Amino acid sequence: MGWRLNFILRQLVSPEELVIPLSNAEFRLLAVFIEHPNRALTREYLLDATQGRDMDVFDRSIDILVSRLRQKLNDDPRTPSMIKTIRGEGYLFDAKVSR
Amino acid sequence: MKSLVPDTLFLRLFLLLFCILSVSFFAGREIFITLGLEHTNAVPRQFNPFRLNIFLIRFFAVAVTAWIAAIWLSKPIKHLAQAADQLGKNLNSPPIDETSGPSEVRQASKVFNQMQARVQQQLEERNRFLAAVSHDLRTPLTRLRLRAEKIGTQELKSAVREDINEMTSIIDTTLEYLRGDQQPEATCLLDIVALVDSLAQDARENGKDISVSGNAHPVKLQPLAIRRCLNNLIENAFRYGERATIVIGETESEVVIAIHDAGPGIPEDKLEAVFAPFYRLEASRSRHTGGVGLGLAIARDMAVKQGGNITLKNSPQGGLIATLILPKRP
Ligand SMILES: Nc1ncnc2c1ncn2[C@@H]1O[C@H](COP(=O)(O)OP(=O)(O)O)[C@@H](O)[C@H]1O
Ligand SMILES: [Mg+2]
Repeated sequence: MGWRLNFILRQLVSPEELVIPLSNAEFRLLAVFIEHPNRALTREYLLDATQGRDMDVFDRSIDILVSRLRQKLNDDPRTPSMIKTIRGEGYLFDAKVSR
Repeated sequence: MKSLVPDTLFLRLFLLLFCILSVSFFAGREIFITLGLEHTNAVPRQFNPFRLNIFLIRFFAVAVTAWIAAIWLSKPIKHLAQAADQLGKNLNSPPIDETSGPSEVRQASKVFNQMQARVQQQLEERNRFLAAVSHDLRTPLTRLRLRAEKIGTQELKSAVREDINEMTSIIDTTLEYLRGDQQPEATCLLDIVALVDSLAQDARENGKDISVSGNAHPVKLQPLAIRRCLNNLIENAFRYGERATIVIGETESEVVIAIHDAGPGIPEDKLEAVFAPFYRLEASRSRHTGGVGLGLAIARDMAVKQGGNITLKNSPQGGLIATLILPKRP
């Protein structure tokens, strides 16, 4: 079994059964990726979809959020296998999603 | 005079037995003769230095016998004292064994167990009562919230709304505290650093000043319970100490999470008292900060159920340090 996301408790369960809690922002970002797997998503779109209240609105915040999420998913930022960077466009969630 | 009598039952018994045994062993014959119970023509014994080592051996034998007998006699009472002590620390500890030991001890055990059951029952009753009242208050409060929306002046409306919110949160925490007794959440291997980090991110999103440093291996825990525990400690740091500086560390057997704040700390003689349910320091009560005094009680309850604990101390640099200690379990 691969990675699992518990929507109620907002935590990831790794293939090794390690429970990894997500912050609200990380959870919102991952939820958007899960809704649209294998599709390039622009920074603006991701920003729009993940904005929490009082969050600073600027481009870099999405990059920071993505790097945090990669860290929690144990996805090497230099050669990511799940959240891939699309140069000049945004990000792509490369995964098979099942419910 | 009091200081001459040994403190423990064991030592008293030992002394008594030792005296009795010595007298009967060394002077028994002389006593019998004096009482006229034994007739003898033998010459009275005289001190003989060659008999000294025999004397020492006898002396030693008497001491050992008295020692063993004293242990045997005082053991049931000692067990009873230990069990009673356990009961005092934790009301939910298993009942004392009523079937072993002499009848006096069995009877005392029985009384202790009855007392424990009665106190438990009373606590349960109190909790049921509190839960019922808290629950019943919710309905009129919801009605009130709807009615408050009809208030004309904006200022009054928001003031009333605030009061209602405060009452709701008091009821919620009270119910949460009462529920704490009954939650068999599953344990799992938890990335505790990710948990602290997530809580910090969420707080930062709400404009709070919080930092996290350090590292630790994952631990087997109940995630929700620990989240609630940490939440209460962090909330206190914000409420009473403006900011939270969290340091995660670990030893061979424990993970240690220390939460520093920049507030006034807590008077040394109140560091334990603040853990009591509904207890709040005078300053917090008059400052009207909105808590009920259950945060630390809930947090410690949760930590203890994970086999850990929470301790408070004042930092020499100012501010309070709340430390959550969690055991590493296989
Ligand atoms: N970080 C802190 N700094 C100073 N005082 C504190 C701190 N945390 C708790 N206290 C004191 O301990 C009391 C009990 O805390 P708690 O059980 O969390 O209840 P509450 O926060 O609802 O009052 C508080 O009312 C406050 O007086
Ligand atoms: Mg509190």
